[in-house]
Amino acid sequence: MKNRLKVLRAACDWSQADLAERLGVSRQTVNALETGKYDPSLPLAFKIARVFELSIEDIFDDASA
Amino acid sequence: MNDLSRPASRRYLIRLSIVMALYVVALFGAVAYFNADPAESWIRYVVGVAPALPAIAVFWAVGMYLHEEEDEYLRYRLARVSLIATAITLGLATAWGFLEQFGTVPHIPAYYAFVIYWASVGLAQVGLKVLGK
Repeated sequence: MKNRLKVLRAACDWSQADLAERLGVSRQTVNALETGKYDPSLPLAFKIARVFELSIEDIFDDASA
Repeated sequence: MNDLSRPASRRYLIRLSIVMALYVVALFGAVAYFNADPAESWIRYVVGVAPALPAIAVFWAVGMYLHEEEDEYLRYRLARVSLIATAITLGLATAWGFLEQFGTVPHIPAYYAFVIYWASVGLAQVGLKVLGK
């Protein structure tokens, strides 16, 4: 699934570690999410949306579905 | 499991250290006991299996880590690595069993499955990293 995490994170001027800390996950997890290697669970997707004050659809794009 | 900034990783390492210490004690104890050529008794079974119990406890420590790790991606990655390592170990053991049955290769003690499993875990971690999976 495509996502805009990297762009949104850059807009906030956060490092992967900064975002990881805000989400309560490891830096590897942020990296895996950004590179599209891993799609988050629903609870983590909500957490991400809350951190950026956006809706899940504004961050993740399930165009293939 | 390697990121010691994570509480679950630290607890895993503590458990692993204790279990490995118990393994060394059990192994040396068993070797000393059997070197003394003990009489036939049920104690032989107890002492003989003693080194295996800490080895089994390593899997318990991994299970506890999977249970306690709050990061879903790290859990997912370890679960994948564990499944790959299980497949490699069972695959090799099965293939070796047939080769041994037909007299093509020598016998290997079954406890080497443990060694092969952990070598496979290492291989799987490196493999997934290299393949970017």
